[in-house]
Amino acid sequence: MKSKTSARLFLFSFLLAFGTTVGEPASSKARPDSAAPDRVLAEQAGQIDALIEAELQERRIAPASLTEDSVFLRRIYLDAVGRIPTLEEARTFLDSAAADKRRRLIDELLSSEGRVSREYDYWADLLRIKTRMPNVPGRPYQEWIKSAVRENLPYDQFVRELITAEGYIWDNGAAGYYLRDAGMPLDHMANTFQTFLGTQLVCAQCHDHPTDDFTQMDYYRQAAYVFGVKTSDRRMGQIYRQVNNRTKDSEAVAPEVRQMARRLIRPLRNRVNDTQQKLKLPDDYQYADARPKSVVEPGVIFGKAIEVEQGENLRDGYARWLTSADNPRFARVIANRLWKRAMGVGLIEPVDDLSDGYEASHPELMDYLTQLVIDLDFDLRAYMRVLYHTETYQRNVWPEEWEEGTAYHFAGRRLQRLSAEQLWDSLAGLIVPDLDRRPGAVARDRRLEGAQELIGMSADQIIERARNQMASEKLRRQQSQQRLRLNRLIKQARANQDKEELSRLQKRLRELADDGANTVGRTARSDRDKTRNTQRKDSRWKDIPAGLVRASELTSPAPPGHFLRQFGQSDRETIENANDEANVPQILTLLNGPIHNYMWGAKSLLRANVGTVEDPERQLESAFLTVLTRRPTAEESEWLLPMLRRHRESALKDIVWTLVNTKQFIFVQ
Amino acid sequence: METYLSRMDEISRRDFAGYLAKSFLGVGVGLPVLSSLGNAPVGTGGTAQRVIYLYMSGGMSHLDTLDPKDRSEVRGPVEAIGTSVPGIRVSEHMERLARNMHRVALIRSMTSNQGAHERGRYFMRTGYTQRGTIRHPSTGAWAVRLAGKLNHSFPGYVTIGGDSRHPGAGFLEASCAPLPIGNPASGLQNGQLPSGVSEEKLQLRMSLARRLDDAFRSRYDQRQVRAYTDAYRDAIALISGRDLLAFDIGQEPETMREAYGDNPFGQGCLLARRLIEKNVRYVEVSSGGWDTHQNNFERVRGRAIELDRALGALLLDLAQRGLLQDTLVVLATEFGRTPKINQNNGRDHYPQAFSCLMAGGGIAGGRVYGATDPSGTSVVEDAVTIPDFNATIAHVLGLPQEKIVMSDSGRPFTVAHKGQPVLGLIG
Repeated sequence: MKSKTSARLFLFSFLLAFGTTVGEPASSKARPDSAAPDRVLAEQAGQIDALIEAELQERRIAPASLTEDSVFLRRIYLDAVGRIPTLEEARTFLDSAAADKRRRLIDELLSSEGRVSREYDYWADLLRIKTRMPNVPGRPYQEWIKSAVRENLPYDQFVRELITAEGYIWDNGAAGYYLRDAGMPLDHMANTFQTFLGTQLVCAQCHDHPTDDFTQMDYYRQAAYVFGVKTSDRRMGQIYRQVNNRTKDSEAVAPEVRQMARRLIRPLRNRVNDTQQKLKLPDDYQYADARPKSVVEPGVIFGKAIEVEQGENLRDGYARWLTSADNPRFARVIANRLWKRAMGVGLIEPVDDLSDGYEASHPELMDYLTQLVIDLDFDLRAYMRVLYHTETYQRNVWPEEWEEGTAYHFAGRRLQRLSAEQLWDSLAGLIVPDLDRRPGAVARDRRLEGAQELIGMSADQIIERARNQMASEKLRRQQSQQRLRLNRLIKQARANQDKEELSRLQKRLRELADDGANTVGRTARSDRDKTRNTQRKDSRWKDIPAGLVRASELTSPAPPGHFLRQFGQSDRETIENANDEANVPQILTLLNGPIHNYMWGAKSLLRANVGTVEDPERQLESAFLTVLTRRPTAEESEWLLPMLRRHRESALKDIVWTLVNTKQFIFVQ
Repeated sequence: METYLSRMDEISRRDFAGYLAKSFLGVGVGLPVLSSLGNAPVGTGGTAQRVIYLYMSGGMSHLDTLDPKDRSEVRGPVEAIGTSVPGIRVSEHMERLARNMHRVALIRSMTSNQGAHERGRYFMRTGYTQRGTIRHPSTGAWAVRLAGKLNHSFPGYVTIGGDSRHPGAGFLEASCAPLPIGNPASGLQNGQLPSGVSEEKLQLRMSLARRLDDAFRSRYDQRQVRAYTDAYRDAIALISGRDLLAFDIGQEPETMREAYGDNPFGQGCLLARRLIEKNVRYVEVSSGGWDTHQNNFERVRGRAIELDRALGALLLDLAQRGLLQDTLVVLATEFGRTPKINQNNGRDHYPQAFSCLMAGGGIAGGRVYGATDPSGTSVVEDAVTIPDFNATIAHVLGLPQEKIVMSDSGRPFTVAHKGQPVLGLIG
């Protein structure tokens, strides 16, 4: 097997070398949104492979062979779009004879809608995104992340927009970055450093960092750049208090109206804005360089000093410093994080704790990748494109386990379990046609509805508004009760076959719906939400449970006990909090869960693609391709086909169930 | 480790049908593995058989719960109340605890050096500080590893409502890992075979799956792959064991469910009691929302009343069923909160000094161990470190603390990381 490997390798490097003889410097700038020419791409990928192989030769490790098409296909789908390919997608690729079909597939996947879900899942884990935040809804923030991915916003700009975000979350989704940590400015700063600079400062919040060179003073000086950023709006806070005082124990205002008025204003109190407030040292500051409670002047922990220009807020300068190509950690950290996503292990581990004197397993490669990210103008899609093109990425899985804390050699990809989201999306993809475009249900958030209109209103106007709203909600409740009652009666009439009564009741129900539309008509729904609602009625998805959508379309985090949480989705409390450990409830779900029923439902893709195939041989092949993205081996066919021939449908169900419960299904090879 | 692996191979070679048939009779399930872990020599101490570990995630304010202070600038609006033990006072939110004080030992001298949530939780649950190079087992996993399971057709360790990065089994084998229950009200889901699927059919399907995976398993003999082999075995044992009702709190009378409080934590404590009755070794119930940087007093009040109700009900229930003497009840959190009230009327992280409690399982009730100064700022008496705290659990359970267990990478570890058990808590 080894000699075959090296022969293939030789051929591959030959092709590579041939392709790059004209030679453009690897650092030639690629414009965002336009793929680099193949030649440049091959050279960049070749450079990475050469650095990995040099190290392998030194350590006398023969790398794993390159993957065959089916293994590559499954891997690239999971990595780039976060789910396994459908039967059609699998056949298209496997049956293609094009020499450059891998390159084409990579490009296609990197600009697909599926990638938006995949990248969103990654950022949701890193940024701890919650759909339900204590004071404001998280959805605009989630949508902002998705559209940043969809538009392929350069990474430095993405981070700058988060750090300089201001305003209400519904006007600027990026404001969610501060609102997520409302009231915890020091923790927020520590999170920013850990996420984007791979640096853990949190120990220095209370005392000098025990292992790094940071002091508590460094921490406070760094935090001073963003301490003036507030998540509460002073004016609305005042109005809130006025409403409170005027309605408290007031005879003119009913307690429900008071409740409603408070509910109406609450989201308006949460607006990201800059103040002049200065950070002070804590009361118990214990070091000699400054007195407790003294004001802290901003200053950076490492890198070049920040220059704040006129007319700028402190954080504008801070954002520029943090995301600059000159920042020693910014490009490096993302280059390493994404390397880990592609290869399974970071060149620097852990990826978010670059303490003093940290070392990369392949220092030269780490430098190269850092520069590559910079040269690509922080176009992460273009960067991933390079990584996916490397042989290092396209090798088979290495059989031995990687021990945390040791350097990895990258002689083969690390074996990994599918993430919770990949597993969920892959299973949903067995059932739901065009899954990547199926929108999730949008829960109405009444806190948002009409909130904008309240800005600028006085306390009394808001109380008046609350009174009206109470009245209309009361009406709505009555209508909904009537609707329930009517539906009950309709059911009865139908059972009694009383046609006259039935048509009378149905007419009444229609009138009620029209009334309802008038009273609820003022709800503020975005155009996107409207489109979603139309899409949700798409006939392809009718009768498929509404919850079967991409994980990215569901509430973040999913509720405890949900499939996603069972399989280790982050609870969004701390940075990168997902896990991939085995446990018994996971297995019970895979053995007995409702997913097996959905697979054979009337509208299921699996049923249409596999269930209806007449020829047993073709059927078996379709089942394997659909679930495992490969064709059955001769031996497998030999013992499964007779069973399928004899018992048809029941055997097919056994086989599909079995394939889902193999380790090949839950691991990425 | 090697014998463990060769035993696993033995199972995989064995006729799968026969293996399953045995498990239906409730014998043989998991025994090959258990015999290599279970029934280890039990150390000294050893008054408790089981543990219910209540974890307050986010950092429980000691000042507003177990260690109330008189100074108004520290105390805020919270009053202290007397308890069933003269001279011991707790916060007004802890009424039921106050009535049960004679069953409980408070530890007011906890001290940690981890001020960030994840690291703090990790330290508390494992006794080790978090490292990038190894994952340490939680104390529950150590208990299963060192003392074995009490009920062989059941998991040894269950977590209820836990956070998503529980250290779990750490580097120990998957058979020591907790079975997580997300929502106590829905219990263990999908425990029953779907209609139309008989146990014979399950057996057939599992043998097909094993055969399909033969090559994969032998090519990738890795920890995580083995963990899934173990998890499948445990899941099938559970389905076949027909003891799933233990996970269903719907079996409890309405009055009992009400007594524990109609919220996930209260119901989780009730589920914990049901599982303890089934001889599960270690049950953790966790409750979030204690990270009260803002609006501390209102928020702690809500959390504390919920905790108090559930804890009070649990202690009473265990005592009435005669389970308290050999069940240790522990209340833990990652750190306390600052005596200083911040500008948002909140309290920030404070690892220097905080409080926990233990009850039952040989712990002397009606006692306060250690103390903080009048401002709650520092420990002035009998400091208890996190390893000490974990060592106390280990001691009461009778786990051999000297016993060295090697990680896969060949590094030696012991339960509670050389902490000293707090003997002053034991009756």
